[in-house]
Amino acid sequence: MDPQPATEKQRYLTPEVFASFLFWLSTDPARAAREYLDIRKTLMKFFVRKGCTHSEELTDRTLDRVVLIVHHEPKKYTSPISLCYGVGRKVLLEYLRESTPEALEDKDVPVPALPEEEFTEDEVNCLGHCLDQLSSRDRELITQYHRFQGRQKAENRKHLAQIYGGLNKLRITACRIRARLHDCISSCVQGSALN
Amino acid sequence: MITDANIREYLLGRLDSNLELVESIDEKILMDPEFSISVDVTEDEIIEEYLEGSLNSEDMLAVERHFLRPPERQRKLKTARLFSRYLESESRNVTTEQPAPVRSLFKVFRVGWALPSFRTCAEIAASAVFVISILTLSNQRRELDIARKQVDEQLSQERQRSAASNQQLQNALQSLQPAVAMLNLFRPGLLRGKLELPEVKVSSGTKLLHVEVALSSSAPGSARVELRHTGKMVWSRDGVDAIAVPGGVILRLDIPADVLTQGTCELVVKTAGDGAISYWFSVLKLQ
Repeated sequence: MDPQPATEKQRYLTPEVFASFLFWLSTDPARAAREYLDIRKTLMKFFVRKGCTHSEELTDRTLDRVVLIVHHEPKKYTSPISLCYGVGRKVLLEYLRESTPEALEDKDVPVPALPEEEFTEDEVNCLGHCLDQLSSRDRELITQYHRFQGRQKAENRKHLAQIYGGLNKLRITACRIRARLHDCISSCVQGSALN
Repeated sequence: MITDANIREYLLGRLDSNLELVESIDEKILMDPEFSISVDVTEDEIIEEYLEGSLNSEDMLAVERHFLRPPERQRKLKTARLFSRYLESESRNVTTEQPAPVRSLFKVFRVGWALPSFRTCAEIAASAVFVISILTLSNQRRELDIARKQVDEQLSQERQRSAASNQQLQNALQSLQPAVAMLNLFRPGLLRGKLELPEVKVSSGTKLLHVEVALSSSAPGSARVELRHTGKMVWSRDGVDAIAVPGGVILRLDIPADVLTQGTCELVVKTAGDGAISYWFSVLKLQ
């Protein structure tokens, strides 16, 4: 799954080349680092949404190419995300071509149903910890939002929408809280595993 | 036109990748953060419905064949399931008692509630040490800042005092400077060779230049004296008496310092017997 032969990658992707890419993003190093991480996250999401199983590697492949392109012609491109989009699409097409034989075989084989897993002590602890990290308002909102099922759930959400500024705003707010909770639990579990 | 239904189909992998619609969704996902969030919302709702079992069979199949392929989504599903279990336990407990949220988690996941482990205690202790260190450091820094400000203030006062002293010294020096500069002129005419012109130094405190001119004539009498600079007369006096001294005759005169100009000056002495004789000297003005 390595996008380029190791020697070629090593020959070109030096720390200096990467530093010049960061400088192209912004002359302020802290801002450049933030932008780089944002771009990386956006690309990851893009590949995940396309259903790719190797989104991280595809993101790295895209960024490696973008870094080299910018290094060779820094003045040709002005919008980092547009450039990443163009390169990302090409990388995706290559990936789909590479994995076509596998995909044909996989097509009728669903992803193995995830078992009703037992959660580890760390995961449970982390959920408690991360819920505590939320503000009381957010905690209240997210627990209320996911209460009930079926018609009762719909009624409950209508009621919450009145309190929190409309259904769309409520859906987005809940989504953001879930994302924070997910990130918090992931890093907490990872940290616990490392300890 | 991108609708919620389109986004859902896109996420379930049911849109033809060659469609222009797919391309515009791809592009919008990367370029438009607001749109990206609305895609996140739809994605979360698919996961929620999957967990509830409320998806129809087609959607269920699409979720398992396509949507859940990326490990990132499988992790998201796991978190959602963890949270869903927590909420189930919460709603069960609402009717019986109101336990603290974290304690109820342990109940629902059948994890024993025990005293904090050694690691937890160590972590708390480490956190306390960390907080104390930070407070100590911040306190030291504040003290350093205060000390530095005091030193800066002292330095500033010292500089002011030094400037005042310097001014006083300058004034004193000026007052010590002689108000009268002296100049003796013996040889008339411009000199050749290595002999330099007589020089007089004039400072800002000098009021008068007292000049004594040794005349070549031995007969006392009255003379007119003119001071010239670059050929122009800048000062003159008539009726300056020549005085007989042992060995000759001299003229004594005082010239106001303010008519003196930096550079070579010519003092012309006109007497009845000798005519006009020039004596040259140079003026050096001190700051």
